[in-house]
Amino acid sequence: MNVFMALRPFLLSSLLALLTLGGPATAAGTSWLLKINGMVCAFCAQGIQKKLTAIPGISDISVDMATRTIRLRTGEGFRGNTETIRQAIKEAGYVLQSIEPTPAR
Amino acid sequence: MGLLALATGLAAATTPTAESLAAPLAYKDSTTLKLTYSPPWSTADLNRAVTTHDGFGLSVNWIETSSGSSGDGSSDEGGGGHPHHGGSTSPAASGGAHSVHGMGNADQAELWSFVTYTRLLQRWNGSSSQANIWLDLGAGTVSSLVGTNPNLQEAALSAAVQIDAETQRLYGAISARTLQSSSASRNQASIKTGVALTAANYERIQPWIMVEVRGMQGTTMDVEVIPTLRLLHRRYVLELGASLHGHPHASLRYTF
Repeated sequence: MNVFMALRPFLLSSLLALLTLGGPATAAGTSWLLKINGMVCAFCAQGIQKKLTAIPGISDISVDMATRTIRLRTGEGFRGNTETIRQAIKEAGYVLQSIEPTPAR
Repeated sequence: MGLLALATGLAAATTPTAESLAAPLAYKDSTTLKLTYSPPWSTADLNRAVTTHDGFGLSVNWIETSSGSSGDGSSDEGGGGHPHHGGSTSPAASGGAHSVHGMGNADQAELWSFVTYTRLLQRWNGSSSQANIWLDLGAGTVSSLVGTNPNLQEAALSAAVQIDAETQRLYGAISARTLQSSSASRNQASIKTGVALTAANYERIQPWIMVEVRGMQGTTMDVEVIPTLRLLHRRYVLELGASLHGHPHASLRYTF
C-alpha cells in the first residue's frame, strides 16, 4: 500500500501521458501551450496557425506574440500526437521548443 | 506610366511571378505574391513553396535605363550625367531617344521575366530571433518595351542571394542580385534595416520604420536611400515611402 502511495504521482502522470499527446491517442478537450522558436512576427505566426488549423481535431488556436506561444485545443477528432504538431510547425518553417498541457481558458 | 508598364509586363507573363528577395518563401504549400513599385527597378513575384525550403515561380523585373547617362534626376536627358557603372546594355546609342514619363532621365525600359527556383539554404530559429540565407535562380528572357531598341528579345539568367535576421523589434538584411543576358547586365545590391515602433501583436498591425540603401548598376540610378513605413499584419506586409531622390516606393507582400 505504501508502495502504491509512493508511486501514485508517477502512475497518475503516466496515465495522463498515455491519454494525451505523448501516447497513441489524445485526450478529448485538452488544451496545450506550445512554445515556438523563430516565431518573431505575426506573419510567421499566421503560417503556423494555418498549418495547425489543417489538422483535424485541433481548435481554439490563439497566438501570443509577447511570449511567442500558441494555445490550442485537441478534441475527439484529433488522431495525432506530439509529433503531428511538431511536424506541422516544422512545415511552417519553425521549431517546436516545448509543448505542455495547460488549463483551458 | 511605370506602374502601367509593370502591369503590362505582368499581363504579358503567362503566369504570376516568383518571389525573389525580401521574404522569399512562406510555409510549405503556400503561395506568396510580392509586388514592388520602386523605380527604376520594380518587381512582381509569385512563388509557390513546394517544401519548407524550396519554391518555384515566376519573376518579372521592370527596369528603367538610360541610353547615355545615369541620372540623379537633376541632369537633362542626354546631358551631363555621369556614365553607367557597369550596366552594359543600351544597345543602340542614345540619340533622339524619347523620355519615358515618370522615369527621370530614363529613355528605355526593359522587362526581365524569369521562371525561378528559390531555396532556403539555411534557417536559424532562436527563442526570440530568426535568421536565413536564401538563394534564388532564374531563367527567362529580357525584352525592351520602350526605348531605342524595341526589338530586344533574348535569353537571360538571374541569380540572387539574401541574408536576413530579425527579432520582434529589429530587422536587417543584405542582398545581391544580378540579371544577365548576352547584351545586358543589371545588378543590384541592398542593405535594409528597420525597427518596430510597437510590440509584435497578432491581432493588430505592427508599424516599422525601415531604411534601405540599394546600389544598381545599369539603371538610371546608381545609389538610392529609401526610408519607408512598413505595416506588418499577419496576412500582409505593406511598405510605403519614397527615396531621397523623390522616387515613390510601394511594396505589398501577401501569402495565401
